[in-house]
Amino acid sequence: MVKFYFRALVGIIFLLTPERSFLQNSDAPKSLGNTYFIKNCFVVQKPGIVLSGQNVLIKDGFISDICPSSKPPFDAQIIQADSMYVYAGFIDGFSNIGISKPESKDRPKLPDPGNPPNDLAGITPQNSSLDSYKSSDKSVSDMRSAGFVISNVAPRGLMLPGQCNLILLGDESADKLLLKAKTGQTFQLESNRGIYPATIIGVMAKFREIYKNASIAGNHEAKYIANPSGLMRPDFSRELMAMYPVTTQKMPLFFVTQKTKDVHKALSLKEELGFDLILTEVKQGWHYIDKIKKTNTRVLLSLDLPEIEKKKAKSETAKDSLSTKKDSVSTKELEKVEKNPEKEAFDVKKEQSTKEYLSQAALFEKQGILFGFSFLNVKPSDIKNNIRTLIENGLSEDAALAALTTNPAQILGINNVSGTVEKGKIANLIITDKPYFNEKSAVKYTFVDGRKYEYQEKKKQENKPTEAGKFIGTWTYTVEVPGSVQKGKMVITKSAGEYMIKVFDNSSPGEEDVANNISVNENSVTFNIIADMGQPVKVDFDLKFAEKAYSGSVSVGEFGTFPIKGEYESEPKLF
Amino acid sequence: MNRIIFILILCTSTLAIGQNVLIKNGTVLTVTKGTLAETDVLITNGKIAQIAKNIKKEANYNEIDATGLYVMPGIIDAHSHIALDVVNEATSPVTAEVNVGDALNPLDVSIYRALAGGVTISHAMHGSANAIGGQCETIKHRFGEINPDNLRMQGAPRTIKFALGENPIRTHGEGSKIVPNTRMGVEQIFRNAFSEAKIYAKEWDDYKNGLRKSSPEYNLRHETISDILKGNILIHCHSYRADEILMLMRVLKDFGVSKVCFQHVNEGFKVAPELAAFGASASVFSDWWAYKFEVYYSTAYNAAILTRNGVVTSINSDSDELIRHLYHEAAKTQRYGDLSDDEALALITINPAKQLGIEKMAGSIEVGKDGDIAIFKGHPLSVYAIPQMTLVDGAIKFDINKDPDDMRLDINPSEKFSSFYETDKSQENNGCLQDVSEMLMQESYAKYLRFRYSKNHSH
Amino acid sequence: MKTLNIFWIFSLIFLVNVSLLAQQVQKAEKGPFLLKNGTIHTITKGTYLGDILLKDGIIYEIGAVKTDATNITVIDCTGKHIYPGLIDSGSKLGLAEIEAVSVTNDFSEHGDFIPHMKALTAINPNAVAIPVTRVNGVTTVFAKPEGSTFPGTGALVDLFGYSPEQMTCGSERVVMKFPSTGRRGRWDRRSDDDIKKDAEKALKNINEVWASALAYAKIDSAAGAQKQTWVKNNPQMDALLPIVKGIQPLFIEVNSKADIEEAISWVAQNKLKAVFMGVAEGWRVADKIAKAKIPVITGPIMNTPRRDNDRFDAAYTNAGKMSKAGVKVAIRTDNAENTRNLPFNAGFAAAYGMGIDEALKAVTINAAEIFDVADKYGSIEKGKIANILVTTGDPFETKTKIEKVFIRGWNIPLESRQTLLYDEFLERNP
Repeated sequence: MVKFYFRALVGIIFLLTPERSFLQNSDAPKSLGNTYFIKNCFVVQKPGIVLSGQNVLIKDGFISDICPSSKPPFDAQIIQADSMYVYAGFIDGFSNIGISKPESKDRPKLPDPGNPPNDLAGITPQNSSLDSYKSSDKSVSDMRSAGFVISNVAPRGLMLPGQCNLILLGDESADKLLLKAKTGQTFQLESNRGIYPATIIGVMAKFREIYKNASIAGNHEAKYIANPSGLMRPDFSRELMAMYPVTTQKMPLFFVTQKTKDVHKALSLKEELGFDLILTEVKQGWHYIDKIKKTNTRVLLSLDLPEIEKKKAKSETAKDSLSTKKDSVSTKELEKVEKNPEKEAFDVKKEQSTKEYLSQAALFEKQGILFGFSFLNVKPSDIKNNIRTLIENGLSEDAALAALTTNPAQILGINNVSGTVEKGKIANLIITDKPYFNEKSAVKYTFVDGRKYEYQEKKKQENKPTEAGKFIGTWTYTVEVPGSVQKGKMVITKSAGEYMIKVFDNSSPGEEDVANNISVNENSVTFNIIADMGQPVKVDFDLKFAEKAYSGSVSVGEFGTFPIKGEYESEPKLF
Repeated sequence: MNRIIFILILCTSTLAIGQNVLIKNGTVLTVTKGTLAETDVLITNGKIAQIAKNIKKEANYNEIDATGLYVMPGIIDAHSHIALDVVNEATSPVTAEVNVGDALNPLDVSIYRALAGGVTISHAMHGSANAIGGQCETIKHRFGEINPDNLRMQGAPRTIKFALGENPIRTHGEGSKIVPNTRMGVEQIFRNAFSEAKIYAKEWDDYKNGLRKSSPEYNLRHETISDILKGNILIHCHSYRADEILMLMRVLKDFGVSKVCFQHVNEGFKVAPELAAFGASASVFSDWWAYKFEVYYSTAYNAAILTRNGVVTSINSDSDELIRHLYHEAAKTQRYGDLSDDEALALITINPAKQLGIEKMAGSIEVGKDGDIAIFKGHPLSVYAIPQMTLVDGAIKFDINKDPDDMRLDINPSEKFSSFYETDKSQENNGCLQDVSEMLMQESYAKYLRFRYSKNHSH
Repeated sequence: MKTLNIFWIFSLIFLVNVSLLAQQVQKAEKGPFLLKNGTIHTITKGTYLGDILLKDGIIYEIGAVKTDATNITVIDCTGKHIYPGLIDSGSKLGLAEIEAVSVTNDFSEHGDFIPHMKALTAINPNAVAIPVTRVNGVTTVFAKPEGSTFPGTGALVDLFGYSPEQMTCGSERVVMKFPSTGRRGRWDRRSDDDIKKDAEKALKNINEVWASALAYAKIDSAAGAQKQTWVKNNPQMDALLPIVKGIQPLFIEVNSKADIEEAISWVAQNKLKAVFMGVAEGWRVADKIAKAKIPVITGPIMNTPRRDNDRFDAAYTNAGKMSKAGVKVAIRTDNAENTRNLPFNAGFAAAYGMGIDEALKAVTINAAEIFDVADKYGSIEKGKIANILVTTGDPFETKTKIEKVFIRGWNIPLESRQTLLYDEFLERNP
């Protein structure tokens, strides 16, 4: 048994960190140094400027030369880049890249939920993303393979999760890869349910109070330092101290504002308190475009886009096919397809709404507003497709590129070191086989801080459960219930032809629930467990499995049914 | 305070200037100045400019023919929770610092549905989970606006929600095992909060007057409560039982606060003389009762008894359903207590205007007031009355003859088709106790799942 | 002095008398009563000026009544209107005293298949809300259990009496909740597929129950035919027998469009007699309901639209749209303590397209027909139960006063705790 688990564990580590393991394995070949000569490529120096037939020399982490006729130095590794494109590496304006999601904990029981300690209230501006950033996190390599070289990383948390830092997306420690520290504070309209502040009105009030007190404390401290006589000793609260630079506008505030009402809150609060605002993860900001422009507010747009419905073509064809073979189809079916003016009206509105979301970036471009992108809710592998969608909806390619490179560099104050392909700048580059915005383009190389990462046509060799026992393994689960998300692991094993399922919920470590009435079909598994909620309550699981993920529902007696989803994690193991 | 000033500036700067409209030849129920047959109402720049027969229409005016129709002031709801994303910050017995104005939702289709019932102004309130809840917002039903600030009624005084009895007791006493667990505890919550705020205000006064060198800590909660004590914020207090109503008046008297409107106040009829003597007003349900124990000894004659005893009384909805027929709720006082037409109409117009401190701007058809008008086919107090048109600042916001089916402003692009809801929204939202269920639940069902607590009314 | 003293004593006695009178409980009077010269709204036989004699609990005579009997109390109804008592076809009145206090609620028993739970057993004849309701002209309600698929058997009762026997109208009906494909609330975030699957599963369960009920009925019939004594204990199945045998309709709660369509075909498939309750989206499929000839109990009329993209008046107009399509419609409040709002619900339905005459039927004769008691209830006809209102006008209008309420011929005092509180506190002393 011991052996079995050991093997599983090793497997996981290996699968999660392919690059790292390659570099650190002692039997891997030694590095040949960091001088690279990218030969005969197109250089997209900055949006709108493309130079052809260039050679780019990278040395000591810098772009040391861009020239059509230069020769490679002897120690350079030559990259034959005929007809390839060199771009400035992309800059992520704001994300939680490299910061793993905290395990959801059960809400702590407080003697007075109205007066919680700051960390439980989500007030941790003294925290730094450097403390929780891990370059080994899969999100880092995913982002890098999507062409990103720098992330403005915010810590995870609630209303004031802490300070952001600009981190180069290499694979060394955060300290080594730090490009710029303390790029801003983060503010999110998020809270711990049941603990003050539990709602957006609480969060807004609490923020005002913290802001005012930070300002008061900052002034007081200055006074005290000048002449302490007769003054009360300042209260060196780490939370307030971390907020001083925000109140003096020396540090911007990344205000996460997805929907129109959030954007309004951010703009109002800025006007009320006067901090330096960067609207972040904006999905629905077009209503305030005039104000954003007038106040020169910097913006990071979300790339989490609504899905576009496949055009009505489907129903049209269905109708056609029905009418061609009318005789074989009952009139009832025909009716169903033919008339639903309500649904049609609904779809028209929906399409309009979708269009508004998708053309937001184009609108911002037209108004000349400086914007980059943020990446809180989008999978790295979707980024290019989503940007292409924005382009299809009116965004120019140059503006799209600017939003990935020069704009975030400017917004984050690093345009002197990154964001363009220019001599002297940090060697943060990507090389694509076709122009990046081409549907079929692929990132071949990413250079981060002069270090090369190469990508082959990927054959997915991911952890895929075997077909024979496709349900067997350790699976994560996430159940969304109103007000909270329950997480845990589910272990499915099979012995002597009998399935066995154990459920481990994060909220009660060390405890397990054993499933009853397990029934397994082609792609689905149903079972129930008896949960103790003061009295026994039957919890029914109904799961539909795809390749290495599943989704379904959990019914908890009269309390309702809730969505559940999860992913394959490993072979079976216990917790 | 800065914030309020900012909001005022914002409102004046961003709102379109009101409309010009002439409403011809209706039966005008002014509420305060009698009923005028075949009379015109002229609205200029969104304000009522003239009320007379045969007013000549000028070129840039829209004309509405109200022949055979009733023209009344826009209905005002002194207690509702529509257009809000959050109702309760239920985590502490005192949360004076929070403001539902931070959670205004102009996209709520309930606003349109309220307009379809002639309601032009509502008092968007914090819930009743806390003894001192959050600040409320008096909103105009300018449906179609996206900017939440455009809902705010310019010039309306600040208001705050208080709550007595079962709701704060259930939430904090039973839910979190802290004071208040009884009506005794509720009283002390007020006395303590007021006294703390007085100390706080003195610290700041001392600092400003140079009697103290270091700045005190800023505390938005105390700051807000000291504004109440200064009379800058009107109290609207959720209450039911006679004893607790008397208690709050005693406490307010001790702290020198004179303005209070009791909300729901189902047993207000028992202490009507005391309410009148204090100068307190009352905003009641037309007939809700028996949904919990503290409203078991209620009577639908409450509004009539209060009115007859000289208490300024209004009828409110506390519900996105009921807000659509407040005219009918007011009419019930004619069955339960024989109020006259003007008395009954005052319950949903000028009286709630007084309770919200906006009686100079709204609540009757008088020259100089806002052009907020509801036009009815049939007398609005008839059960057969049908609202035809509703104007806010002279702009037509509802017209039954031009009423598209789907009035949603914010369309979720990932919704396949609209969902059918088995329960109506008002039931589910729990009115005054909205958002509290989470709190109450942490007790018993923490282990697995958190769900909506109860389908019962918990107003 | 002496005279003064006497006068003084006299007035004291008078005072005592008055206070004694005031403390006396008003009781219902038995009659007979002759209602003279009122405008009689018979519902089924037109409206005309006339007299009604209420005797022995029924409408004894109607028209121009001539009588010399001395024991008859004559009530002058000149200028007044006479209506049959109003019937609420769906309520929890008597089953729920205070909603938030669970021990005072008796409408939801444990179990998903419990059609044998009888509402009539638990209706509290002395519920405080009963007098509150009847003074508004509601004389009869269908009080029903709820909370599961087969929550029990509801009962049609008159709102006067001291025991179930005195109150029952003899019509008890099994209710069922049809599996719903709607969402239970905003928190219900099941996927569309899951919702459908849940509903299918629930319907499968119902079909299983139904198959057993059919089998049970066969055994029962066989036992009857063979004159066998069948010793058994299966009250659930017994409760379903009258439905399976086609004697009684099944009262089915069903609301969304898709569910109504599904329920129509389920009813047809099982060849049932059925009545639909709720039917919030009946307006979307009114023709289909009419075609299936399934009567409908809908309400409350004052309700918000069930979809965000519905018109504001979707619930107001629902009853009228169904009625216009040819559906037999009755109206319910689906409330407990405010069942008194039935006439106003009917008034709104009338205003929003149903018309006053149809709305009146929806709270009188249509209801009586749906509950198979039209021979005794629902209109003013000779021989019917004397549930009668005397009003100053249209009973749906808020301004109208209900001046007399007769239930089973009893003249009910127009008094409730709410009126008593009014009397006590309008001018409070001290």
